[in-house]
Amino acid sequence: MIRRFSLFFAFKTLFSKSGSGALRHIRGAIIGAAISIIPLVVVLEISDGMMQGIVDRYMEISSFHMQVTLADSEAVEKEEELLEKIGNIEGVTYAFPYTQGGGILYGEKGRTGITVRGIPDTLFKEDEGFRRYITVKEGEFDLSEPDSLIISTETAQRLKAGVGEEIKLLTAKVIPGRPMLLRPTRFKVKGIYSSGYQELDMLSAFITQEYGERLFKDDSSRMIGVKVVSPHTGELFAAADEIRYLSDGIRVATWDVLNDSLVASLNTTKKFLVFIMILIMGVASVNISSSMIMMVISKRQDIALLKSAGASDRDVSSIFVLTGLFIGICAAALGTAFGIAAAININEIIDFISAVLHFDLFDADYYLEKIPVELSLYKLSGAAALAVLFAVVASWLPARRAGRINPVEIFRKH
Amino acid sequence: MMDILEVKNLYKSYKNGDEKLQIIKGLDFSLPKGKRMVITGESGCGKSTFLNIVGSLDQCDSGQIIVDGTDITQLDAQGLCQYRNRTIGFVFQFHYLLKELTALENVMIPAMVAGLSKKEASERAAELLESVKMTHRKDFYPSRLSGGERQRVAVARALVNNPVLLLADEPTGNLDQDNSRLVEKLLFQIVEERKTSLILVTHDPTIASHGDIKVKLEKGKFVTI
Ligand SMILES: Nc1ncnc2c1ncn2[C@@H]1O[C@H](COP(=O)(O)OP(=O)(O)OP(=O)(O)O)[C@@H](O)[C@H]1O
Ligand SMILES: [Mg+2]
Repeated sequence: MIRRFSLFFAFKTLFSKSGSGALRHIRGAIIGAAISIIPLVVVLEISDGMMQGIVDRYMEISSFHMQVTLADSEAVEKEEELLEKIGNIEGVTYAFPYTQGGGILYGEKGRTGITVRGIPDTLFKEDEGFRRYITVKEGEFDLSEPDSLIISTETAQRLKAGVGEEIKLLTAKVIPGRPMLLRPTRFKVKGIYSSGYQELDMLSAFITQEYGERLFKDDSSRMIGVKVVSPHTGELFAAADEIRYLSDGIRVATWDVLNDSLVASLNTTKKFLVFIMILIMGVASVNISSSMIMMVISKRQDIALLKSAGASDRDVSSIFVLTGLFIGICAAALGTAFGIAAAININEIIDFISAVLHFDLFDADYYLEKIPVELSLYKLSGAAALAVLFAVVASWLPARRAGRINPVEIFRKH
Repeated sequence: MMDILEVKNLYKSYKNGDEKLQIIKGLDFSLPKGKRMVITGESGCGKSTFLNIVGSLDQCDSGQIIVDGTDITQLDAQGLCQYRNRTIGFVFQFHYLLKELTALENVMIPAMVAGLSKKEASERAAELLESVKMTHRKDFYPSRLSGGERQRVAVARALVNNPVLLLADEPTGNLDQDNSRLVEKLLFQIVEERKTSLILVTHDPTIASHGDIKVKLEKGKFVTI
C-alpha cells in the first residue's frame, strides 16, 4: 500500500519551492509521453468517424438498410402487397422495389464498369438518408424520363461526359442454352452526384426503375430496399424478423451482412492502426524509464537518508511509482488535449500539409472528402488510462531499484 | 540501571577481493540508559562500521546487539524499519537534508515515516526545531542555511520520534571549531534533557572529554580511556 508519507514526499519533491524541485527532471518525460499519445487519440477519434462515414454511405445509397429478395417468381406477383406490409412494420420508414445489375458505361471518350441501380424516382425526394449522402454536383437528381442516368463525378470524369450527354450502357442478356448477348442501351445523363466517398461513387450509377426492370430481368436482380428509423439498433433486426414472417421464400439481408467484408476490412485496418499507435506509446515510455533512472540516481542520498530514518524499500519505491503516476497523468491530460485539438482540426491540418507539400496527403479516391471526427469520452479515457498505465509500468523498475538502494554504500561514498 | 545497549561478542569483517578485513573482533560492551558514550579511534578502524551495525544499516558477521531489550539481529525487514524509525536516531557527518524540503519538513520526515499526520508531524518537528534553536529558520530551504544550522536541523530530525538511542557519526566533522563546539554543546544538552542515550564518534578530543564513557576502538575492540 502507498503510505501517506510516500505521497507527501513525492509531492514535496516534485513541487518544491526551493528552486530544485524534481519537476525539471521529468518535464521532458511528460512532454515526450504526451506527444506519444497524440497519434493514438487522433486515430481513435477519427477512425470510427471515418468508418461510420464510409459504412453509412454504403447503407444509405448502395446496399440500403435491408435487402429483401423473393425466392420464387410467384412471390413477385405479391410484391405490391408485400411492399405495403413491409411499409407498415414499426420502425420502417421506406420500402421500395429496385433492380441492380452490372454493366459497362461507355461514351464517346471513355468507358467504365459500373453497378447500376434502377430505383423509383421518388427515392431521392422521400428517403432522407439517401438524400443526405447524395450531393448533386451538376444537373438534377431527376429520374422522371425513362432514359435518365445519374452518374457520379468520378464516373463523369472517366467518361469525360457532362449533363445532357448521351451515354450507352452495355449489359449482358442471358438466355439459358444460348450464348450471352451484349446489349447496348442509350441513356441521357441527367445529374452528376458525389457521396463524398469516391470508391463507392466510382461504382454506382442510378437509372429509372422502368429501365432497370427491362435490363435486369432475372429474379436475383430484383429486390426490395428497406430503410428504417434507426439502422444501428436492434430495431433493424426486429423489423428484419418481421419481414421474414410475412411470406414464405422471402430472404432478408441486413446492411451489416451485405457490407460485412467492407466492415471487416475497415475494422482490421483500424485495429492495426491502433496497435501501431499503442506501440509508439510503449516505445516512448522508455523515455519515462530513463528519466526515472536519472532521478533515482540524483536522489540516492535522499533515498539513503529516508531508509536510515526507517522508510521501507516499498515506501521508497512508492515515491517513484507515484512520480511515474504523476508523469502519466500529466502526459495523459496534455496528450489527450492536444490529440483532441489535432483530431478536430484534422481536415485543416491535412489541407495545410498538402498545400505546403504540394501533394495530396490522402488520396481522395480512397478516403472521405472530409474526415468526420467523433469525440468519444469512453475512448479518450481509454487512451488516457493507457498512458497512465504505461508511465507507471515504465517507472516500476527504476522505482524498485530505488527501493533496493543500500544506504551504507551511499553514506560511505559521500 | 538497565542497559540501553548490550553488544555481545560482535564480529564484523569485509571481503576485499581475496583478503578478509576483520574490522570488529569479538566486541563486548554495554551502555547504561541515559549515558553518553564517546568513541574515538584512528581513521579506518571501524567506528562508522560499528555505528552502522548498531543502527542496523549494516549486518554483523556474528554476535548479538540488544537495544532496549530487543536483539536487533533477529528482526525481520519490517522490524528493522520500525527499529530505525522509532528506537534510534542517526546524525551523520554530512547533514543529508533533502534540498526540496524546508528545515521543518526535513525534521518531519521520520515522524511522517512513523505514520503521523502532517499536522502532528509538523507540531513535533516545530518543537524539536525550537530545542535546537532553529525556529527562526524553520521555513528555510537547506541551501539557505549555514553548515552549523544544517547540522542542528539534522539533530532535530534524528530526535523527532523520541528515540532511546542517538547514534552520531562525527556530527561536527564538517564544521569549523566554533560551530563545532556550538553543535556539540547543543547535542549534549538536548540528549541530557530528553534522557536519550548517545553514542558519539568523534576525532575532537575536547568533545570526547564530555562523554560519560570514553572508549577508543583499537584492533576491533573498545579500550576504555
Ligand atoms: N564495504 C566495504 N568493503 C570493504 N571494506 C570496507 C567496506 N566498508 C568499510 N570498509 C573498510 O572498513 C574499515 C573501517 O571503515 P570505517 O568507515 O568503519 O572506518 P572509520 O573508523 O569510521 O574511519 P573514519 O574515522 O575515517 O570515518 C576501513 O578500512 C574501510 O576501508
Ligand atoms: Mg567513519
